[in-house]
Amino acid sequence: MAVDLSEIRRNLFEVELLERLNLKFNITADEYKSSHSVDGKVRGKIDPDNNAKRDRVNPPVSLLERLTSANGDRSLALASGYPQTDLFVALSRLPPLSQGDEAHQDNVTTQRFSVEGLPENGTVQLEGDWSATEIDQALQDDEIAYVEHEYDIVDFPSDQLPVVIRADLHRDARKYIENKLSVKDVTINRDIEELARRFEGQGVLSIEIEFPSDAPEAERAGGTGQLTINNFRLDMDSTFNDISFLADQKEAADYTYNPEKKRVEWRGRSITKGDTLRYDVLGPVKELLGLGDVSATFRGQIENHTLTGTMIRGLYDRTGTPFWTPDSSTNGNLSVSHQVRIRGKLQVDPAALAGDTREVTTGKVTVNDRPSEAFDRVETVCRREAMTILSIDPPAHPEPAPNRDGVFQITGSENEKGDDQPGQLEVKREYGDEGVVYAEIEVTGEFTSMTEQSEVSSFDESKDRLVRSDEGGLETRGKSDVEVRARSASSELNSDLISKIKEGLTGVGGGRRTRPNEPAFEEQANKTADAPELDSEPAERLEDSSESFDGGDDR
Amino acid sequence: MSDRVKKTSRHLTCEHDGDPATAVCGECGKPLCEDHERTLTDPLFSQYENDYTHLLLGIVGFVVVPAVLLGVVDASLFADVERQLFDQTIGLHTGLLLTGVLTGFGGLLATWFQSGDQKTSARVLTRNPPERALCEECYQSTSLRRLLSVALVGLGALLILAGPILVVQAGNGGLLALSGLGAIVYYLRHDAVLYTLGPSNSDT
Repeated sequence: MAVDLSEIRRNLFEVELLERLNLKFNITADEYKSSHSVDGKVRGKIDPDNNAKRDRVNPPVSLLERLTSANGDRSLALASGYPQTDLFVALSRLPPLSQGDEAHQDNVTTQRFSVEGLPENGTVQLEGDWSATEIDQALQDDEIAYVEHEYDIVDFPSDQLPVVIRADLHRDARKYIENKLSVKDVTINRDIEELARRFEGQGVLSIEIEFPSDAPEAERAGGTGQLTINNFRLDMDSTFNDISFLADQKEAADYTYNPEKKRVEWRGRSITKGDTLRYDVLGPVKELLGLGDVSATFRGQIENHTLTGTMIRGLYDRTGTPFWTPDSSTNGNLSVSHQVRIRGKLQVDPAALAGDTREVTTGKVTVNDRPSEAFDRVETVCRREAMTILSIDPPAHPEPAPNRDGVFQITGSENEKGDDQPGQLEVKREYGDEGVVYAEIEVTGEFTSMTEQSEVSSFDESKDRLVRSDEGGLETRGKSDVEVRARSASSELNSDLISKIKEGLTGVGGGRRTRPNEPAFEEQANKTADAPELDSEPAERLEDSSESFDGGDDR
Repeated sequence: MSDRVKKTSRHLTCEHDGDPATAVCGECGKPLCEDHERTLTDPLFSQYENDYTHLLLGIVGFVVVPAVLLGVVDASLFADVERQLFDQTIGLHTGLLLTGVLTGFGGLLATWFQSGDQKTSARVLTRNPPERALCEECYQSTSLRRLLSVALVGLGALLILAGPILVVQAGNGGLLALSGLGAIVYYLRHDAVLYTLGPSNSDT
């Protein structure tokens, strides 16, 4: 019988560090704001045993104690610490990151937050005493008791939040489904294509909960947890007939829709770091816009994770010796855990989302290349610049240019005549917290046919002949226009993406035919605030194509 | 992530030198490493263990010894031995009897019982003060109880030793009872400290 152990050692079965994150997110016509509050608590769970009751109902007696406490003073038996219900929870917290820390990108600035009521390296004392009647009741009803120590987290910076919430209205459901849901598994992809076709022409109101992998505090605390959203509930002001909702890919239908209450509830979903949970409402855009206020509430948690980097480092009783440490599991029945609980409240007006002014910036680069080569180079540049390629369509079926002998052309997509097809690339690039830029790149151009060119070269004659022959076609082998249309919340990001592509194409460390002495490109500064036109003059102004070819090969 | 961060994140660290903490102060909860931890066997701290030692001692001293001395062994045997050793009777028989009874009484006083729901589930316990880890400041404030403990152990030891010595010197066997008193002091030293200072955990 384990009477020699202090009561807290015997009866404590779980200690958890809970940090609660309350998120609020409002997008209405009036405001666009998100706010959060964070607090936490250390909690022990105690399940009293029979000895705990006995120690109170029948405390130990002795002859001496009987002799000296005739007046009812039980001080000898019940001296300090008996029956030892105090718990010391040892905690340590990693100091907040400073900007000087290595292994962090320059653009990550970490604000300090302060934790009030919790030592950075020390203990909190929890008093776990019961009265005899409480224990009696607890034993009968199989109850447990919580002992808690609460603390506040002040000024927790939003960039360290473990989840990112977004709401968006997409006008093209088909594209949305194809883009967001496509996975490597081909069989699933087939289903997705079917799904995408089904919602052709409709819109999507999507609420995303992202669990980004780059939360620095979490990494340092060794968090490898997964995010579980237990219950995502969406209440709408109104609803319409052909409203539909997207289920989780793996589940047949993990939501319940109640048209009468105008409420959808999604069941529990779990993701690991780097993934995103999506809650999608599909329907005609007009109907979606008329939904009125959409409010969502959700509850979720992240296991093995703390926002503040606080970890439980040991459990002690009043003797000061540990009965649990992370390195040793002396008490097998005792579980120690860390968890972040999330409660979210979202208020979204789809109409306000529609008015969500996306900045669109276009830029154009002209390169002296055949469109197919230019397209390849664009693709290379995009991959090198860490852009995600969402779709890729190389240029095809060039048509002879009217009235120009030996010249073929590929015209833009808006020019529907003929079956020439411009090269089209759809890419996205993420700029950390700043946003995501989506861009459509279209490659058009004209070129003299290769066969024509080799024919010309085979003439064993002077330059004049060559030039004259080219005059019928082009000055160079080919000329391509690369048009980039970048979309994001900020035109700065758009410009950055465009200039990245431009730099890549016009030669900073790039094209094989760049002349080192010439400027890489000239920028025509006819930018407007919203849509800077980034035309550039090609660097490769070649008088003689065959000569330049030789030069290029030598380098 | 630097090595330093990894190291500090793994352990609670001692406030004094940053070494990994092996204990916390049982009073104030400060993390302590082995070098800065003071250990106190705290008489004011109650911890009970299943232990029959004191009860057995009480039974032996209180029942067995008198029974043997009064029933089994003839008192005249003692008188013979005493006459051979000291040339006179010094009452060693009585002294032994007294010592046995006193020691047994001490054992019984130090025995704790805890009754249960049924009579058969009653426990015999011994109160053993646990060893506690304390920080320097909290340890300093326990000086009075440490002093009392030391004094009582000294007194007990002195009395136990004084018994036989005085018996020989003074030629009075009854003085052996002093050893019995010493045993009582020794067994009840923690209770005496507790009774003197009260159950609160501070000396003042």
